[in-house]
Amino acid sequence: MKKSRFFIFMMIMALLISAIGSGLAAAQGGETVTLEIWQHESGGKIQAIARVIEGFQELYPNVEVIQSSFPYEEYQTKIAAAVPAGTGPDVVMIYFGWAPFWMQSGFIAPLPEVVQTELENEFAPFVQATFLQGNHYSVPTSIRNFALVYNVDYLAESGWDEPPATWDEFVQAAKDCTQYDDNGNITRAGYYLEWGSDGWNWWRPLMQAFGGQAFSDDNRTTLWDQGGAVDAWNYMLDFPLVHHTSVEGFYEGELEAFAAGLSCMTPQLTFGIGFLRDNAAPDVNWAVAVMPEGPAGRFTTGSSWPMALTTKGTQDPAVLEAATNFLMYMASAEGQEIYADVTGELPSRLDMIEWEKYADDPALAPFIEQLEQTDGAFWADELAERQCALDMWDAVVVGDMDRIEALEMGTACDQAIRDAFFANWEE
Amino acid sequence: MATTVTPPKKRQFFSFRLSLAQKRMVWAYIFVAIPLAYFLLVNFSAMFSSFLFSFEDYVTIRASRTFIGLENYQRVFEMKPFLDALRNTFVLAAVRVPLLTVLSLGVALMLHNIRRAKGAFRMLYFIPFVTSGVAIAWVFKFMFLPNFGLFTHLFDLLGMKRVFFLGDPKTALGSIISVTIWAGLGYYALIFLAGLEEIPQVFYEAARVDGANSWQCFRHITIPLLNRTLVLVILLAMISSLQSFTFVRMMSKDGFGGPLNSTITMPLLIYKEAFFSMQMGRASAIAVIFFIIVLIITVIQRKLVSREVDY
Repeated sequence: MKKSRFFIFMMIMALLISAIGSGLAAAQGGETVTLEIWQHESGGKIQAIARVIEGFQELYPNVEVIQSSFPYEEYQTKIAAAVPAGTGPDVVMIYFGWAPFWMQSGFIAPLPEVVQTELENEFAPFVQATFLQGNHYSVPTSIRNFALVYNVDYLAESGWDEPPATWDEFVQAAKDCTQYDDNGNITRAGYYLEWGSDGWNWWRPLMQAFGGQAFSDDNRTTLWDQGGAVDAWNYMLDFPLVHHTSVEGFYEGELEAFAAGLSCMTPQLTFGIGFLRDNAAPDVNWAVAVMPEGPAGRFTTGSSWPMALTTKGTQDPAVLEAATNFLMYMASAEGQEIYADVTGELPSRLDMIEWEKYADDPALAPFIEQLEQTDGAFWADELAERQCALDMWDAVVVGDMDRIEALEMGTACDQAIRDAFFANWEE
Repeated sequence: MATTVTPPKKRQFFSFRLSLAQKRMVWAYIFVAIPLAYFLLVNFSAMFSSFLFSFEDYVTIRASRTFIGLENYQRVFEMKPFLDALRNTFVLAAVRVPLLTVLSLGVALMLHNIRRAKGAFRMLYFIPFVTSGVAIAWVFKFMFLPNFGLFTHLFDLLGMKRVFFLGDPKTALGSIISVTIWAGLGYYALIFLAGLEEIPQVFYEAARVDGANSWQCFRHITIPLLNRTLVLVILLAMISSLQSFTFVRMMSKDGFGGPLNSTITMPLLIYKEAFFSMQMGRASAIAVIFFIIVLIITVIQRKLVSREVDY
């Protein structure tokens, strides 16, 4: 009997202490808020965000952050499964091209005013890529644009002491650098073009270099089959079909082939630098140059995996405040530096680009040089539009369709997606 | 004075009296009811929800949904990928099921007749089945690489023209089917082996006394007595073929049944529509149509291949 009384007394005391403790914490503004952040797994992204979270929690110890990461293949599936269940992230890493569709679906919300002001004042023009209907929808973790990565030794062996400066020279260098076995099979690709990964991404700046454009200025019309865009299409198809500097399925990935010493050149996003530093074969002596120039000038395009605020994250004021603070930290020089240092990419804040550690890095300098004119395409539904481009490429390269017929097919496919999207879009 | 103690009444579980057989029956139903409840709650409710979604404009990442009647069904029949997926799924099943059945029966007959290292051989054939499909798919994907793959080297050694196995619409589906057959062979062989071991040796002995040769024994004893196993194998192979997902997802050129939809299957199309195109309503309509097709096939197949044999 005595024992049980003692036990009850202890229980009451424990409850009282915990109640007083939490009351005191609340009174001091220290009530714990849980913030859920989702990201996809790629390269050093998980470690980078984990480090950003550590830095953030030093400033905001009352915010408990749950970091979840998923393989790219499962990422959208997890999000799609979470939304109907009313669960999921408060802050989510997205591909910038998904923003219009996700915004239209109501999954992501406009950023808080304070974050938007920071983006307008301090960030590279690329942030406009997710500026939709008068609001910013994401904070860049880093900025990626295309530059030309080349194998110094292979090009020198082929008579090229300098990387190609124009797209015509690029073709010639690719031809000079390609090697074949006795049966005519490529053993070293001058330029290995994998349309589905990087190829179709830099097709857009190539269109611009040839005087065309991918979409009308209001983004409603697909212009793949107009003017310079057609020249760019033919230019790319010529690599496997005419110049034979590339063959379909040569290796698993353009960047991977380059890192393994199996190709001479590859236009790559900034992300590739971190990858090559970690994974290039020891005898691959690589360097970076700006993108070659076309008749209409030199162009590049940008890409990013920014952090967005979900509609779920706006429901509870305490969570919204924590999310706002996290996004502000991600946008700060400290957050951007942590992320850039882990991934080897470039920060998006313009003031940081001039920092010696970035500006004097010979691998990053060509990317920085092109940063001013780095923009991002507006994708109504990036995955579906990509599929249109993949199909029209395959129709020519592994099917037997005429080039222009395939291009018109792809253009019509993309236009249909844009028409459907803009039917429900208010400017 | 003597007192009478009344024994406490036994607590009755049921208020009415049941015979032992009836009690057993009740308990049996209770035990069956538990997994049945789980099935109804998890599987059936999902199927029913999917049926309802098929009448809605349901974007997967949008919280709100609207009823649109049969519009999803109408759109589905206008989709080229749907027709491609339907064709590929049936080609896959039509090629895979007979090949897998014949090959696994052949392997089972060989395993049944060998005298030494029987266990080791069985294990060798069974290993692919217990290996992760994703791992198998990746290994074969690299073996199929047109420039550096093992098969390319073999073709080079034999002086044959290189083939872009997974990248050419003409060869992509065949390449994937061959891997699914390789991966499933051991499993179906094991089922056949169990069936073969159940056939009494006395039938063979009697037939041989009557002068029957090996082919006659196989044709008139093995096949008829293996009928139930055969039906089971064909049914399982058909279901797994119609459900093909992992290998096409991992091995197709773009992960979604490329090139040019030459390898897309119905389950992959449903997944793609639901989780990548985010069109849950349309994906559900495809799932409902496919469910009906599979149901019809299964019923017809059971009627065609089920035949009771007794000696």
